[in-house]
Parts: sequence; C-alpha cells; structure tokens
Amino acid sequence: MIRQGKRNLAELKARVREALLSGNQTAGIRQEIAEIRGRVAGWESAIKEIGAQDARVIADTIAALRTRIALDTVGAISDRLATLQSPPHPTVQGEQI
Amino acid sequence: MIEAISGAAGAVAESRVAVEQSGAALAIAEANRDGIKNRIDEKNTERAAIVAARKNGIENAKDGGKLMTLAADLEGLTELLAEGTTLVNSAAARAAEAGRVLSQAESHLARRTDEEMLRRLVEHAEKVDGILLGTIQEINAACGRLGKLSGREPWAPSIALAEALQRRHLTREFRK
Repeated sequence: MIRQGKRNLAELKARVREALLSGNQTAGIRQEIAEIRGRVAGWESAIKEIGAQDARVIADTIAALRTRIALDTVGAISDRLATLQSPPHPTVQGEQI
Repeated sequence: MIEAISGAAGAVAESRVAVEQSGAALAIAEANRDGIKNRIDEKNTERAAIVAARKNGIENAKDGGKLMTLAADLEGLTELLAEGTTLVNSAAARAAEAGRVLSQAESHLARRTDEEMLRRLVEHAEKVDGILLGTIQEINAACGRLGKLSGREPWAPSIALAEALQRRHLTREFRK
C-alpha cells in the first residue's frame, strides 16, 4: 500500500508539473497529494508501531529464554555436583544404639 | 563465571529466536513459491485442455483469446516464480546461517558450562581433600587412644582412589 501510495504521489507530482507548464489549475492535484501523503504517513506510523511491538515481544522472549537457559545450565552443574556430596553425618539422636 | 554462562545463554537465546524467525520466513517463502507453482500448473492444465479439445475437433471461437491470455499469465507467473525462488534461496541461506550461529553459540555455552563445572569441581576436591585428611587424622588419633598399632588403622583408601591420588601426586609439577 505504501509503495503504491508513493507511486501515486510520483504520478501526481508529474501531473502538477504538467499543469504548471500548461497553465492549468493545480489545486485539485495538490489536495490529492496532501491526502495521499497523509494516508502514507498513517500507514508508515502503523507499521513502525507494529515493528516496535514485535521488537518488544522478541526482546521479552529472548530475555525469558536467556534466563531459562542460564538457570537450566547452572542447575545441571549443581545437580552434577550434588551427586559428589557426602551424605549428611549421622547425629547422635539419629543413630541406632 | 556465572556471568560468562549468562552471556553465553543470552547468545543461545538470541540464536534460537533467530532460527525460529528465519525458519518461519523460509516456510512463508516456500509456501509463496509453491502457490505460484500451483498457479502455473493450473494454467498449463487449462491450456492443455484447450489444445487437447482442439485436437479432437472441439473448437471454440474464444480459444485463441484464451490461449493468448494463458500465455501472458504464464509469462507473468514464470517471472513471479523466479522472484519467489530467489526469495526462497535467500531465506534458506539466512536460515542456514542462523543455524550455524546457533550451533556456535551452543558450543560456546557448553564450553563455559564445562569451565564453570571444572572450577566448582576443583573447589569441591579441595574441600574433600581437607575433609578426608581430617578424617584420617581423627581415625589415627582414635586408634592411638585405643592403643592400636600405627599402620593397623581400620581404614585404607580404595586401590582406585589411592592410584588416582598417586597419579595426581606424581604429576603435581605439570599442574602448576
């Protein structure tokens, strides 16, 4: 849509030039140009907003994934080391006498 | 060291998202190209049907116009197919690159993980060293109080442990 709008703008600018050269009125064409410019600006703004939202979602996803991977990795190291720990010392109360 | 793992995990996370995104983009590009191929097949089938009918003597005054339109459509679709194929190729290259980067990031994370594991294992071994030595000293002391002869204490390290410790001891100089 934006590309088409910009193509239309280029065509309208050419028409303004022709109108100026031939001495015709340009007000109508200029109004069309202003309308199309407004629409293109609106579309571009919407696309920017969507892009920003997407970027936020991706950043959040990466941050969550990073935390999960880091926790899993450190957890796996701790689990491995836990298998190398000695069992707790028997207490006097806990011992069979 | 934990920061190193966190950093490496961040790179893996970014790479995984990139792999997912590039994979999705590739799937879209492939679907688009396949859609164009299907349209080409439809047009070819349509053209073949007209040609076959005419061969069988079933002629229609509109056939010429239809065939011209079909030829023009096929020309346009062939151009679109070339564009679509180019897009698929570049999307596939990006997906492959994303996969390569992910593989590299995962290798890096595995290395950081092993480094952290080794650091903690050495720390643990140093602690166990002190505990085992202290335990042996306590056994010796208890045996002394009980009047047991030195060298007759009731515990000795397993052969595997003694050999592993001996190997470590003999190669001590290389570890500095």
